[in-house]
Amino acid sequence: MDWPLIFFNAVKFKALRGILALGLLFSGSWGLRHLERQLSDQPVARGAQWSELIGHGGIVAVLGGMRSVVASGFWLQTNVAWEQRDIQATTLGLNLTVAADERSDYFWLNGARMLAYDLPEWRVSPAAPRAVREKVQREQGKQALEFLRKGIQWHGANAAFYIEMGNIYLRRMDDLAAAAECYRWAANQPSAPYYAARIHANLLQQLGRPAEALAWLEKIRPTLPANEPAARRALVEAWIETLKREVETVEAEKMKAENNAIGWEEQKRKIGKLGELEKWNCGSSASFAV
Amino acid sequence: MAAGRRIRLIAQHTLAEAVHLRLTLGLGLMSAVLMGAAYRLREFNFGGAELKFINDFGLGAMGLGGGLLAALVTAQLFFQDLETRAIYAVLTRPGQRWEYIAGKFTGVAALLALFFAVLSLLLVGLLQVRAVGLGGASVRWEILLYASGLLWLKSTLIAAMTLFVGAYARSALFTSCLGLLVAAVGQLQAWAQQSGWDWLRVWPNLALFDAQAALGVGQIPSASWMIGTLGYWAAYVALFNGLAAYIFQRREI
Amino acid sequence: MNPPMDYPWAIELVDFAKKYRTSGSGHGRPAVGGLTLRLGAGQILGLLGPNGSGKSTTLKALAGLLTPTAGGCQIFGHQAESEAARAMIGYLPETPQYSPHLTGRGFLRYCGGLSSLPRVELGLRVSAVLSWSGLEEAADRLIATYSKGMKQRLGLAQAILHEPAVLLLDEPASGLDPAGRLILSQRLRELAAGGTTIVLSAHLLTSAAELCDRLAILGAGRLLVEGTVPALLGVAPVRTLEPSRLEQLYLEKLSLHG
Repeated sequence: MDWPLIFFNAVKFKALRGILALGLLFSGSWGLRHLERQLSDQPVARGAQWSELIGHGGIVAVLGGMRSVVASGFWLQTNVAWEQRDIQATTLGLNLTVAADERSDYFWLNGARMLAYDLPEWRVSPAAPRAVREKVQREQGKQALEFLRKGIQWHGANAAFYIEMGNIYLRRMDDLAAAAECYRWAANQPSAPYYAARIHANLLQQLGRPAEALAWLEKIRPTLPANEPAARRALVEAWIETLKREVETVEAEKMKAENNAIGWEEQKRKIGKLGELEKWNCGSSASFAV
Repeated sequence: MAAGRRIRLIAQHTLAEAVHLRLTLGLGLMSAVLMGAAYRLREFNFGGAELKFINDFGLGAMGLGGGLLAALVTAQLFFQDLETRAIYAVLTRPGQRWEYIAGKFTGVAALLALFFAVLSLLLVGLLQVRAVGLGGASVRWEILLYASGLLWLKSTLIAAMTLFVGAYARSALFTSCLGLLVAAVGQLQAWAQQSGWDWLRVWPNLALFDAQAALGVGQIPSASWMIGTLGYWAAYVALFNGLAAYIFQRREI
Repeated sequence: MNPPMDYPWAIELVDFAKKYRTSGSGHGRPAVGGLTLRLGAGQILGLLGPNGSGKSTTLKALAGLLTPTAGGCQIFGHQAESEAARAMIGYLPETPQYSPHLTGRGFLRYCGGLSSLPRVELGLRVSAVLSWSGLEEAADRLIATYSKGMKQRLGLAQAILHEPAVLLLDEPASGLDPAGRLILSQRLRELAAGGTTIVLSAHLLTSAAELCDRLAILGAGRLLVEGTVPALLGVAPVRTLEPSRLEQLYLEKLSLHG
């Protein structure tokens, strides 16, 4: 049977055949949207990204699917500016790079490092007063942290981002508590490196919170594979034992201090009562050992 | 069986014609030169980042060349047959017109496979040479293959859309331009979804096939995602080729 | 496909009309209007007429390449656009161009494959038609190196490759020298004698009158007159395939000077 001929002889009106074709196109596409939604896990370029690209010739290329190439091009420009120690061009280049393609960890992490560690050296000379250097370092550290927070928003969180933030808090902001928190977030991410958890514990210990460090290590110990060298399970177990002793010592001293405090208070109360008794004993003053 | 043989013959004929086109050679050379340009930029010496740049730029050049090739060669070969009346030797023989469309598409798909295979080899060579120069930095070849495969899927989809346009259009120029335009529209689908321009969503979301960035950071897509993407591709190819055959059935040659 | 032996007409056009739609207007340009023609098997019909009279349009409609605006075209009772009809026809378009990157033999093998000729038979048929069309020596050269006449002969070869019951030839003598036209006429008479029905368009009236059994003269898409040659010309049929006196002189001089 010559089915196409039969069909076309039946549907005689050209307009009707055209409508049928369009109908097939729309209905076919509509039917595939559900599958498309499931497959489309890539973040869509956000409004902020578009606005960063405007005027820099990037939009057409981005629309053409050349995002990686455009971002790499901007990255090259950034590195040229970096070589020339051009603060404004470097900062602009970093923002354009991640606006063109937010998908690469590499641009975010290395960009943050440039902002946190390189730009302070360009802004102030080593001979400047320490207070000035530290102030600039903190400003750049804050800028780098903002950059990474934008990365988490556009790119999505992962361990590497939080580790980088932790490093910046440690080295530039001198904020151990915030650094510890970052390492904890890092350790809780999928596929986090084992050291993130250990650094979190170490920082808690430095902050004088050994009990929290101990609780943390005891929580992660079951997740550490024995046959994985990077997990350093034996080290963690030894550390737990050390921390237990430390915590016990701390607890003992605390109790002793508390007991001492209680003993003094009790004696003071006793002296007070004896004083009252003395009064009632017609003013005889007696000295007694306290 | 006879239909399969006719489609295969038309595909082989199309591939042979396409390989001889100056356009094919020109676009292949352009893509290769762009790739080479990425390699030349190594003077900046970014270490491991340089490999990423060469990889990104190379895949970008392949994607650009492949997209152009898909639209331009499809249009040119289709209208060449019409203008030289060579198509009469096919259409006046037993067989349905959809077989001609299927054969044309298959031939262009084979050309694109050849194009991506050759350029992938070139890119692998460039990366290997540079990796050795960087002291044995690691390059994951399977990632590159996945990326090339996705680019091939995207380009063949552009070819199918161009064939759909060509089945109705009257000139190769119009068909090429419209083919490239719908490719751009396909790239905009993700934005259209966000902006609520649902009427644009007639066309496939070509951005789905731009996974090379994710691949570039070492994330091979999951098997379920790959199967889903292949199914999505196959459905749209069938839709556009089917519509092209539908329109072409009544076209007066 | 073998044609049905009991069907009286190999070619049947009944009130065939074709209008081409011109851009910018809703009205079509009539190429052919109300053409009725019938041709029995084994006969040769010549379509004559000036440029634009509808000869090529009629041949294309019979080849199933375009849809009639009105009326019908049938090949042995099958609608011309049907696969059954196309299995019975061989078509030669006006001044065709074939892929320059193929050899003559390669192109014929391609056409034979499209006609679903069995592989075993294909090689033999290709050699046979190459010999028939005088292209044996050039068979393995690229088509790009062929002259206009050779391309025309290649076109004829592809048209008869699958031994069709009906041949539709649009200006078959175009590009052929006098010797080639003579050989073509002989070949076509042989095919017709073997039962092949032939419809051809021609400009050269004398050779059409000698070759064809019936003539149809078209003008502005209308059939002006149709009939056998004796009936139209009022003379006895000239069935000689001997060259005319001018052609004799021509061939003589060629053979003398190589």
